[in-house]
Amino acid sequence: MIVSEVRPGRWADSAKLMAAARAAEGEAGVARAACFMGTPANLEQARELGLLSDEVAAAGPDDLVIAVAGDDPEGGLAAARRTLDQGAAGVPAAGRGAPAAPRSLGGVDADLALISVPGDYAALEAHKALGAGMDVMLFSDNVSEHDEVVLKRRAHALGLLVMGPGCGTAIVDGTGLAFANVVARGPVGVVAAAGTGAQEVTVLLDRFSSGVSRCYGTGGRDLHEEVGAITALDAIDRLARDPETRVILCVSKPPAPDVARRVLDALAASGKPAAACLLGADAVDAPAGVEVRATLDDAALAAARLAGADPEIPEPERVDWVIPGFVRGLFSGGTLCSEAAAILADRLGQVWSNAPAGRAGRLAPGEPPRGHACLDLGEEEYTRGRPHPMIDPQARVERLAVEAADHDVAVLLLDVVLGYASHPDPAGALAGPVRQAMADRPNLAVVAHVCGTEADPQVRSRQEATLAAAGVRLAPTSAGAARLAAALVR
Amino acid sequence: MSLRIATAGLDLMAEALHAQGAEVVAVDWRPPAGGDPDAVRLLTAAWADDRIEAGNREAVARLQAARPMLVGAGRAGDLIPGLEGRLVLHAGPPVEWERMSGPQRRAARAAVVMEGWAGDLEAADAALAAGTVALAPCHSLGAAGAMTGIISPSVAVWVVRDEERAVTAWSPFCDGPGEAFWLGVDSPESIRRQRVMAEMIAPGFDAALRARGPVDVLALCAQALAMGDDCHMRHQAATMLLVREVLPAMAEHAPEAVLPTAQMTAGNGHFALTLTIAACRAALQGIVGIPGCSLVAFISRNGTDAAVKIAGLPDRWFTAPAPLVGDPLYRPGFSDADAAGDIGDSALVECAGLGAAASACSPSVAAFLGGSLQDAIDRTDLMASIAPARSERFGIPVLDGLGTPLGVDARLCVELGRTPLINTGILHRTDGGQIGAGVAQAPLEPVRDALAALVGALGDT
Repeated sequence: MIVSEVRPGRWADSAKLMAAARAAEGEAGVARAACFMGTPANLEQARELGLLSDEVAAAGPDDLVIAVAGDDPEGGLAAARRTLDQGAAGVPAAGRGAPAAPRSLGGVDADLALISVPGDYAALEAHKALGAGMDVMLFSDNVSEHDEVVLKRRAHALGLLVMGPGCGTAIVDGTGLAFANVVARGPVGVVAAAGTGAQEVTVLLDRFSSGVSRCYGTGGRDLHEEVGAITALDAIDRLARDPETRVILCVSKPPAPDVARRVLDALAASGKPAAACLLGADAVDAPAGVEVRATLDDAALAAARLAGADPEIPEPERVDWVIPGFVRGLFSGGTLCSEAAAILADRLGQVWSNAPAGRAGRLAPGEPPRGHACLDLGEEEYTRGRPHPMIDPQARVERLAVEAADHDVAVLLLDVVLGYASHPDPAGALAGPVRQAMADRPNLAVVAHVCGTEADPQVRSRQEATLAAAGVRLAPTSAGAARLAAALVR
Repeated sequence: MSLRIATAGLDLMAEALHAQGAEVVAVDWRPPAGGDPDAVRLLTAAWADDRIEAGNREAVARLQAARPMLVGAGRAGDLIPGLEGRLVLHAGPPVEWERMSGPQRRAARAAVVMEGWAGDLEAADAALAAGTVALAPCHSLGAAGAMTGIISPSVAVWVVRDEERAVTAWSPFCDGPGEAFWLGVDSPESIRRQRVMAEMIAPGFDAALRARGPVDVLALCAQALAMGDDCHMRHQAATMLLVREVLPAMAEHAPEAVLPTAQMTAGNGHFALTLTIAACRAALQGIVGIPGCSLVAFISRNGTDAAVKIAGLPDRWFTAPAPLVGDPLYRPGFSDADAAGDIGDSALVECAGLGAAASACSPSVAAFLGGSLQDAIDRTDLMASIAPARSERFGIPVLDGLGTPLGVDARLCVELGRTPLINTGILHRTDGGQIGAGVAQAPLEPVRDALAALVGALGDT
């Protein structure tokens, strides 16, 4: 039987809707559940899932729908309701007599807007924020390159910054925005056209006895020719003028060569020592005053040293024997995937990836991996409307079982990314499936790197202990994990 | 000063910031304009335009700085430039005699008889139908009127002057309950009241004002809000404050006006309403013509059409059919079938931080409408959601002096599908006379049309 509820004119974000459906499916007596806005496409999906009651069929695009099917679905409906009715945890809800939460970003008085609405509305919200004098962090993706350029040019003219679209990480005034780790405050300012790249270098600056003054994200397309690094250049300019910043570190996914040149020149002209890691870029002539490194850990180390730290570099794990077969990287972080693919390509030859990674061959969206391969599971073809794997480990757990069952695969390579907004216990979610895979295939090796700090909500040492107890080999940095994986099969 | 971060979208982003102790403003976001792609395109263009931002900032600064003063009172024909010949002004956008609503026709023909331009009401109808007596909106000459808003040369008007922007505005005296022009009643008694006001009361006020100097009208409104008025549906406190201000000088310099003034104000709790309207019109006229400004300057209804003017397009009205008044509270024996459409220029006060914007100031208006104080606060919150600012002058006592929402931004109206609420009365559709009260809602279409026209005009330059 199907039970349903339609809430006319109510809206909830997709993460909340999925959480509500998940809560319903966790109840006994529930076979399937869905929570969605009543758009024609969603109603069609509900029909295919056998969740279309008369009440559901009559819902409109502005109506929120809960539909639960099973032998005894009432408990599921109640669970979904509870989840939907919870406000943002810890954020004071507007109550009787209190001023209501603002209904529009237009007219809000703030310094910075963190925007994570669906892409169709993201440019509108970002323009509102700019008009009100706010810097913008645009977590949303699916924003056109045209809109990105218009937003960034306007921001530049107004002396503001648009980080994104698709910007996953920033640290401003000691506050981490979106996916960010709890790192020591210090002398290194970071500009990152690479979300998890920013997390990795800020975490490593913390570990290398240095620290972060601020970290600006730019969004993955900023260093494309069409955008011309508007945000990266403005961010470098801000760091150049920031008295707390003594060293500037710039990291990016593969940039357009001309734009990379402009960014390196801006670093050189900043008047401050600088380091850079432009993943997958062919060797560039570093201008004087800029240390260019091929991997995130080397770049973070260079920056820490420029800032006066003298860190000890942890020894990588020794490799006693070699296992013949392929390396398959299953990543939640896109930049960490690109970096690993580039390192594997250096050491193992042909590597395939669905993420941009220099010399690695490019897998088409949805194309199954072959040979040595690194998959960015944050890409749409693996999430299919589910939350990002850093929030919800389900997509990776499913993929892990598939790859472990492939007897040509010798090493699984994983990233475990901690910090605010990430899953509360990613290692715990992976440990069971990893144990199962290693029980089924005693020769399989699993290599992982935990990108996080002791101060992160998940606590790095606890996450590492959980993984180690499951038999995972740990490396101290993302690049180190990729090098270890390569060494294991070579 | 710590960083203040606004969030729109995923709850978990606000949660993560809150967990770090950051100062977070979490917007209760949902798809703008119901997700309609055309509206989203319009809104994106409107919010992307720095000229609109600059225009609106200027408009808010002007509204905050406006200081309209009551400087005089007297016969409209002596005071309003352009009110010449056989001309009757009315509330709302231009309307032909044939389409004019019942109450407004009745008040207009009574004015024609009062002026001696026709011997009786039937002859007045004929003169108006033939055009030998002309009709024009109050707004066309810088005036604004409550309900029917009829002004002919012999009608008493307030004169309000804002020196800040050199604007003068006029509004007819409010002639009280029952048999009154503003309520669309065309009886000998309503004509008599007009004569008393024009010949006795208005000259008394004028003499008093000359002697004591001008009265700061919005300062008076601010006090009245603290005393339970919303300054639209309730003007009890404002009326008494006005009399208190002026009475000593009137008793000294025009003692013959004191008794009729006392009699009029004793039976007319709305007496100061039209003074508020004139003051708000002067303040709002100060933003008309600011390039790019997307604030609604005037909302104006005549019982047939409702019209909107936005400040950035000074020469155009955008119209739609006048809606019925919502949440109606009728006198016994009346229903929607008897009700005229929403009428009057008074809704401009809602664009200036009063009326529905100040609902939370008036528990008695809330109770009159059958609701609690929380309902009144909700109405103020709704107005806040479409306002670009909070008034620096009008505080809400029950909210620790928080300012009333000031201004109405067409962009926010279109985004949220919300338009100003208007605390107003309801007239009988044929017979005139007040049959109830309620909360009207300005139609969205003209606001959206106006915004689209503004964006279009900016795109052409």
